[in-house]
Amino acid sequence: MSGADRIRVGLTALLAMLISTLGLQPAFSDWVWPIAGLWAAAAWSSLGLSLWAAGVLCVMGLFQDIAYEAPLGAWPLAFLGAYSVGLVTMARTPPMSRLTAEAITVFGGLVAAAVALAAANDLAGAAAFWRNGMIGDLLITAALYPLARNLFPHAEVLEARR
Amino acid sequence: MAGGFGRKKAGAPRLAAQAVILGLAIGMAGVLAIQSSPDVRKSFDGPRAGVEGATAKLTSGPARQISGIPWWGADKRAQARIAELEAQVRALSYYREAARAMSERMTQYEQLLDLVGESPEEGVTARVVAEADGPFAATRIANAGALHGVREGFAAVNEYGLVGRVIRVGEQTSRILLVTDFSSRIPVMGTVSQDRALLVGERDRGASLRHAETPDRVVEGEIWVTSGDDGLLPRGLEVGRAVRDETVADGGWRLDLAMELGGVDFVRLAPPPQFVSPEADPALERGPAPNTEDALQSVAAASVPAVEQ
Repeated sequence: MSGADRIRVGLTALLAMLISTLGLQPAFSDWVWPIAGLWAAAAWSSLGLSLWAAGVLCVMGLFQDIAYEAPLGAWPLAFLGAYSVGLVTMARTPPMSRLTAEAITVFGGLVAAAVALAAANDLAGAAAFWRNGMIGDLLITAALYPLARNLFPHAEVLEARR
Repeated sequence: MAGGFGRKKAGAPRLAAQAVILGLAIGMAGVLAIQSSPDVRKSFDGPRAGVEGATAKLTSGPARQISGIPWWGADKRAQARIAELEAQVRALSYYREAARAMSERMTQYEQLLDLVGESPEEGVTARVVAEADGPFAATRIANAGALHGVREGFAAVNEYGLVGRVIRVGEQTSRILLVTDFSSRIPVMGTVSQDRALLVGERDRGASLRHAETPDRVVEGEIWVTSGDDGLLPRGLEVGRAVRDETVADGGWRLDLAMELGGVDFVRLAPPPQFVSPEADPALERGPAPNTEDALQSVAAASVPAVEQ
């Protein structure tokens, strides 16, 4: 990842945290709200494996943990899970179309994040886990991804790559 | 650089980087695991409270902007709401006077009966500036904190009833755990049946009544209030109305929460009742002074000559 990409990743991480913070507004309390960190994880995975991106995802996750009163480490684990699924899918082994790769990155990433959050809940010994509320947030995240990915640095997945 | 430690060619697997990311994930899992200890979780409260202050500042700014936007038809609705509230104030002023008179009379009765009363506690009114309804917790952040006298354990009440209790306090903010949160447990009692139960938070249906002493005596629609049995919340705060719900295990009752009759916008943060613990009770110190070594010796010295005589 080039220096310019690192700066873009850092700046867009701030944007993602701002979007998460907006979701805390009392006016939006009854709305389903997208998880901007998962957009970032999916988009950044198309740039290839990067420790910088992984580290920034951890910082974003810790911020989300504190803002949303989750056990510390839960959201970083979810973001890293989504990022890892994206990395594996974007390598496109076995060969697959671009659309398929994008779809697996998004939906596979969301499933990985959900599994990671449930595991985090058990690990931290939290009281319970509100699945119904989270499903709405995950679905809106997936639905808005085609638009939202343009906010984050990403690489077009070219057919020539495979 | 064949066979060296230099950068590998594009497309080659970066095992070290993959290992670092795996290590990060394992590290986060470790951080989560140590939080299963309440003491460790408590040690994170300080940094969390600091960041919450910043979050509250971030959210309260846009909240002001959003509330200032002239929405379509908002003016007409605002006028209607003001008229409604003015009518309510006129109606309630009679009850305020009646309550004041009754309160004075009750104080006199308590004095006559030498009854230890539970005087209404002081508190702070705060505005909710952030609402976090994530998969892990249902909480609110209010813009009053330690500087305003708020402490952990304060009850949070809106104009309709109990909202929750304060679980963390920053300098100028405090986080309120809602009664709907999974980890919320509040002792309550019915105003008609006088039955006592534990109110357990449930995100999807609000809160259910568990371990009711006599669930058969619970009356549909009766108002349930805090019982104060835990010594943490004041007694008599309205919580909600009983509703029969067969899906609730252990009794089959849940509450339609009073706080949900309106938005949780402003809350009053009230301290827990100040019961004096038996150890700190000063009543014994007012009795006769206990015997001391000197006093016993002086009594013995005074009695010796009498024996000799």
